[in-house]
Amino acid sequence: MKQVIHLTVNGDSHELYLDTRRTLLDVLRNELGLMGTHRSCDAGDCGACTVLLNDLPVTSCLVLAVACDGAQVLTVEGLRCGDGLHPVQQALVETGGIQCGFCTPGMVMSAVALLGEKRRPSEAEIRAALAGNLCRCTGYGKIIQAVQRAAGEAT
Amino acid sequence: MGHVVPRPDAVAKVTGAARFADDYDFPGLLHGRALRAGVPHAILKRLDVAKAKDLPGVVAVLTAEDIPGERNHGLVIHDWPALVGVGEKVRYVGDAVALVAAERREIATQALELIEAEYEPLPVVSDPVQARQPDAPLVHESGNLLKHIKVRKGDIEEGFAQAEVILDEVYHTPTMEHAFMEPECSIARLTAEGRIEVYVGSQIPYADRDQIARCLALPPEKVRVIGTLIGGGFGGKEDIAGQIHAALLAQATGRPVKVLYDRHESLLVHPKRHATQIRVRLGVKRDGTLVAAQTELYGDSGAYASLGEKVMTRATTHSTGPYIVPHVKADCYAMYTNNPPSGAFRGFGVTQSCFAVESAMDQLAERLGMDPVELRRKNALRVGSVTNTGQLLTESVGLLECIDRVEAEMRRLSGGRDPFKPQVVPGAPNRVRAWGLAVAFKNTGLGGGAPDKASAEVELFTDGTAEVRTSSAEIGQGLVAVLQMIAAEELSLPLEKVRVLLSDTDLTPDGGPTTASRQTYVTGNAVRLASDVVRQAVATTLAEKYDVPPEGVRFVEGLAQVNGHSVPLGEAVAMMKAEGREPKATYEYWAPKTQPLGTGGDMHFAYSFATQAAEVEVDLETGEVRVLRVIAANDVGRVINPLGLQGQIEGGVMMGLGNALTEEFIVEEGRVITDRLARYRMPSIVLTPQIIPIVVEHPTGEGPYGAKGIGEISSIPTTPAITNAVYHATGVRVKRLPVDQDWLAREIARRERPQDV
Repeated sequence: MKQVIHLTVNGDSHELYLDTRRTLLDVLRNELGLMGTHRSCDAGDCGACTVLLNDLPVTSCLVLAVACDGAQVLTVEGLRCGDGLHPVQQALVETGGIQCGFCTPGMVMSAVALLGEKRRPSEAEIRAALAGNLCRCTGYGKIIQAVQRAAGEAT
Repeated sequence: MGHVVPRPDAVAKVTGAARFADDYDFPGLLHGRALRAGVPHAILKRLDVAKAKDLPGVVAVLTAEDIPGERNHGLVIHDWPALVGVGEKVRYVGDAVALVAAERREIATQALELIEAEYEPLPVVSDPVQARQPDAPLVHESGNLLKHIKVRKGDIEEGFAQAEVILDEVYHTPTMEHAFMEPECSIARLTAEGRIEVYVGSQIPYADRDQIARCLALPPEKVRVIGTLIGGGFGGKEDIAGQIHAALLAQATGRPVKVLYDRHESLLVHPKRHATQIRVRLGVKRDGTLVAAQTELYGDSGAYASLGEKVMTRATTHSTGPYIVPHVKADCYAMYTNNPPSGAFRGFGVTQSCFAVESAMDQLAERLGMDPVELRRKNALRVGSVTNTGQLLTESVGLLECIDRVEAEMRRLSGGRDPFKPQVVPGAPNRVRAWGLAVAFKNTGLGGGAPDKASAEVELFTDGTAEVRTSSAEIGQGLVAVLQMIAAEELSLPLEKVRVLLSDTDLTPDGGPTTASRQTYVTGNAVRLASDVVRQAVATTLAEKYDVPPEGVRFVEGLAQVNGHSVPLGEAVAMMKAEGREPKATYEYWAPKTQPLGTGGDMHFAYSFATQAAEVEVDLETGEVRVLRVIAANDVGRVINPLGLQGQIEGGVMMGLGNALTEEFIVEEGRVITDRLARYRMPSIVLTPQIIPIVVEHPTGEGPYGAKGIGEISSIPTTPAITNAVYHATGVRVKRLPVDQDWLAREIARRERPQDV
C-alpha cells in the first residue's frame, strides 16, 4: 500500500509517495539522500540513526515514515549554526569524542535534544540522555566532556 | 611530536558528510544478498533456485558452480568456501549457499525465501575440548586440530620440583563479538576497461584484492579495492565478508552490486574472539619467585581457519604473563568446531590468556600471603630478562614503571587504606568497594618470522603541499593524524599542508594489514623514511643550484633555507620538475627480522607493557558490579598524538570492561543465540568509569621517534583488574567470564559478608 505524506526535513518541505512499510531512516537515506543518518542495528538498539522528530530524539529505524506526515525532522545535515558547527559538533571535534565516527551523528542529535531541553545538564543527565547511543570506539568519556563543554560547563 | 592533533576527518564525521560504504550509490545499482545455511553442520543435498530466478526484479541467482575460480578463500589457509555447493558440507550456520542480485533489496530478500535448500544434518561439535576427543564429529576431513602450539623453556619437571607452592586453576572465556557500529558493506562494479572495482571498508585491502581475484579467476591487477571510511574494525574486518559475493554478482550481471549486511547477518557471519579454556599451573618459591609455569589452552577456532592459528599462538606465548620464569611449558590446541569462525579481535588471544594468568597471580599472592603488586614487581620482565620464548629483552621494557606509577596512584586515591581490602560504602551497608590490579604485555607487529613490511609513497606538489599514500586502514584509531604528523615533521611542513590517502590498491602501495598494533611502528617508519628520501632529493636540487653541500640546506616551516636564501618548498618542487626530477619517493620499510616460535631469539621486534588498577563497587545483595575508576598506565615507547593515544586508552578500557562484566556471544550447539545487537549487552555510556591514564615512555630504538603499539595493550589488563577487584570486594573468585550478576549474588550469599577493616 502506498500513501502520500508531507515531511519537512531540515527546513525543506517534501511531498513523498511511499510504501507504508518504509521507515523514516530508509526514506531519509534512500529518498532524500541524507547519508549522515546511519543504519547500524535496524532494531532501535544502538541509536546510530537518531534524528529529531518534532524536536524529540527518535531512532528513525523504528519510525514508519507515514506516521511522520506533517512532521518536522531535523537530521545532522540540518544542524549547522550559521557558517560554523553547532557547539555540540565543535566540542566533539575538540575533545576527541570521535573515532570511527559511525555513531557520531546519532550521538550529536541526542546531545542536541538534551541541550534543547536542559541548558546545563548534570553528568548523570548527560549519561541518561545518551544511554541509547552506543559507541564502540571512544569509551564515552570524551563524549561526556564534549557535551559538558557545549553546555558551557567544561572544567 | 607529542602535541595534540584533532582528527583530520572529525569535521566530516560530525556533520554527516563522511561517506561509509553504504553511502555510495551508482547508476543501475543492484542489491545482493546471500542465503545462509542456518544449520551448523550438514551436507547440502539439494538446491533449487528456479523460483527465485523467476521473481520479477531478480537479475541473477548464483550458486557454487557459477564461481569461475577457486571456491575457497582465507587469510592463511584457503578453507572457507565463498559458496557451499550441492554435495558439499556446511560447517557453520553462516555458510552461504546461494547469491541473489535484484533491483531492490526487498526483492533480493524475497528471492532468498524462494530458494529451496535441503540438508542432511550431521552431528555437531561445538566445544573445543570436545572437538579434540577421538570420537568427535569431523569439521574438516583433515581433522579438528587446526594447530597444536607449543612453548618450551627450561625443564618443567625440574621447575615444579623446585617450587614450594603450586597453584593450579582453570579459567573460561566466552566467544566475543566486535560489535563495530558499521555493519559490513561491499560494492562491486565493472569498469569500462573490464576491471572490477570493490568499494569496502577493509583492514587489509591487498588481501581482499588477492582473494577476490582468485575466486573470480582474474589476475590481481584486474581487481581494484578502494577503501571507504570504516565504521570500526577491532580485527573484525580483516577477513572477507561480502567482497567476493559482490564481485561475483557484478561479474555475472555487468552492473554495480551492493552487498550490505544487516546486523543479524553481521553477527552470524564474521569471525569472533575465540572462546577459550585455559589451565594455569604456577610454581613459586616462598619468597614469591616464580620457578615454573605450565599452561594448557583450548581455543574455539570455529568452522574455518581465519587467523585462528596466529591468534592462539599469541594467546599461548603470552599465557605465562610478562614475567621471568625459568621453566615454561605451554600447549595450546586451536580446534575447529561448528561454531562461527574465530579470528582477529583486539588483543589477538592475549585478552583471554591475560585474564587467566593475572587471576592466577592474584590467587598465588593470597596463597603466599604476599601483596599482589609486590609479587608482580618481583617477577616482572625488565631489560635483560629472557621471555618464555627465549627472547632476550634489550630495550623498551617499561613494565616496572607502569606497576610503580599505577600502584602509587591507586594508594593515593585509597587515602592510605589498603586498596585490596573491602570498604563498605558509607550509608549503604550492602555496597562494598575495593581495587584490583593486573599487568600485561603485547607484541607490536606480526612477529614469529613473518615478513613485516609496509610501503608508503610521499609526493610533494608545487603548491607546497605533500601527499602520503599507503594502503593501511583508518578504522577509527587515528592513523591518518599519526602519518600526517610524521610526514609534516620530516618535511618540516605545517600539518595542514600534508594530506593522507589510504586504502586504494591502485593508488596506494601496500602498508600491510591493519592488525597487531603495527601501523604506527611499521607504516609510520615507511612514511618517515619515504619523507626523508624526498627531503634529500629537494636538498640535492637546491644544493646544486646554490653550489653548497646538501647538508647546507635547512628546512623550516615549509621553507628551504640555503645560502641566505629562503625558498618556499613549492618553488623547490617546481625546480625539481623543471630538471626532470620526481618530487616523490616510495619506501618499502622492513621491520626488524623475527624468529619463528620454538627457535629462540627475537620472536617480536617490540612489546608494549601495561598495568591497570580498577576500583569496583559491588552490591552484595544483587551482585551488581560497577567499575568506578580505572588507572591505566601504558608503555607506548613514545607518544605521537596524545589525543589519539587517550582515545585508544579510554576505548580500550571500556572494551575490557564489557569483556569482564556484560558481553557474551552465545552459541548453543552451533546455533547463534546472540542474533541481534541488544542481546550482546555491549556497554553504554551509563557504565563509563573515570579513567586515569598514565603515559610511560620507554622508547624503542627502531620505532618512529621510539613509538610502539597501543591499540591492543590498552584493553588487555582491564578484565583481570576488574575481576581481581571483585574478589577483593567480595571474596568471590571469577574464573568464568563475563561476571554473571545472579551467580555472583549467590556466591556472595554463600560466604560471610566481608567486614570493613
